[in-house]
Amino acid sequence: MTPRVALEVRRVGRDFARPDGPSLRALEDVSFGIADSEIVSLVGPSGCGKSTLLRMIAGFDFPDAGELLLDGKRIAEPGQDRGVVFQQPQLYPWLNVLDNVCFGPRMRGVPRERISEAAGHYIRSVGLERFESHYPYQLSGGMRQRLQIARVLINEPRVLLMDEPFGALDYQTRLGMQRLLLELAAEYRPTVLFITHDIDEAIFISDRVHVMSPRPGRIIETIEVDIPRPRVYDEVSASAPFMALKLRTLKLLAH
Amino acid sequence: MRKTAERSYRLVSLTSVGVVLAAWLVASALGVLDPNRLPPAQTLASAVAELVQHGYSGKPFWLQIAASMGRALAGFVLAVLVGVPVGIFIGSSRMFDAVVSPFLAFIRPIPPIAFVPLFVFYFGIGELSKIALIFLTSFLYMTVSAASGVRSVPEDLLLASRSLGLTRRQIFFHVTIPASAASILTGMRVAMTLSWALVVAAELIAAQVGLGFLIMDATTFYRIPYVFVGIITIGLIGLALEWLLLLAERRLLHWRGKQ
Repeated sequence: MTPRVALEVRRVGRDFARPDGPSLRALEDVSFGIADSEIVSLVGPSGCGKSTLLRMIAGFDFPDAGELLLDGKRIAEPGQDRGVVFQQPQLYPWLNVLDNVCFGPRMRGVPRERISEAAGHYIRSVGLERFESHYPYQLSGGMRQRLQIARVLINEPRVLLMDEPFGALDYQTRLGMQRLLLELAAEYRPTVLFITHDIDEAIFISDRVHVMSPRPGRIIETIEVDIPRPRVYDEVSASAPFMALKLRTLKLLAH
Repeated sequence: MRKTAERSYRLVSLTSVGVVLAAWLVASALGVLDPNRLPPAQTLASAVAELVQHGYSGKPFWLQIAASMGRALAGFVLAVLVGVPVGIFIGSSRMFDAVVSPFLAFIRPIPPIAFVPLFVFYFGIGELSKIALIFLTSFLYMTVSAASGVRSVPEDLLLASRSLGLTRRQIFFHVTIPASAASILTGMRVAMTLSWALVVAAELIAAQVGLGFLIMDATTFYRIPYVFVGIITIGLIGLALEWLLLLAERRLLHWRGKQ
């Protein structure tokens, strides 16, 4: 049985108008699908349009060609079915950790008891249970990102859209966040679109990696990562299959 | 390290004030100060005692203070009530901004005193003309700070909020407004100081009571110690108001500037 397709990107193109001269083609003819509970990464050089694509899936921007479908329905605007994790955590600085997590469901009128139960659960999942009454400015960069992830997970989105979420973190913290993401993936089985320019990160966390070309961004090759889960970074990153995939990706990006 | 440095600078401020006060007290004790130029401590003390006991021009001293504060607060509160919504509207609607901003930009650099004769002509010599002057000045300031507060809300925070399932209305009330609060409160602090400073100017408009009136009237009758007491009272109250709003700001906006 093939799993249900959650997100479909069909021949999507995007041009940006420029005040002087012809418009700039950011994306050209990009197509792929993500099935339920799959983790798919987009890697590519900066300016290849990977973030543009993610923003269009989020509903912040719109394609000039092709279409974007979530469960077969055309994406028209932002919505809670697509949880966005920004590189710079977009938190409410005037709310503490608990209230940041509860904010979405509270605004949507979810019953109070259900919110507090779910909030406690997700806050524990990301390891912030001792920091519920802390404010974002009292948290480290990694903890802020954990908070942003908890705030998105409580919405139980159909797809998790992660835009270089660990790109601004130091190396140690980044590895910790990757481990956390895989733990969360094993527990909640979310469907994830992950954007990064870190090849190790993409291969380590993903089921599939789409390698993109420089502008105009196109998918030049798709790499299936058939390394079994659960994956442990120290073991996987030194294994022959991982090395082979990494080398192949590097070669593709070198062109 | 940083904290100790901050603490020692505070000590420097205290010492600096202390030295000037001490010099004045010593000069007072030596009897070298002219009471009608720079009054010595004893003259000032007796002026305060007289003011507190007998009032000024038939009205008690506390009433002089209350009259000035009432005018400043009335103008200030009105300015906040009107200026904040207008500023928020300017900040969120580019069209409204384009319509009203040229007028506000034109009026803003005009010294408030220039409006005094016109306001007397429009509103008479009663309370209304004074409150209107304070209102206008604070209002201009509040619109700017509210508008810039709204404009400074990060675009991604608004987008993130939409992805959390908030409606545009909810985003406006639960994200844009609290996110602008920092700028609005800072604006209020400046507008409050401005309103208080303007009281003296407003009370030039034929006032019969108030600290500004007291200063003007005492100058006319060459009662210089009274002038000093009036000025010092205005300064101390201004400091207290500023300090009060700063305290409120720190409590309400403890999160600001620490991102």
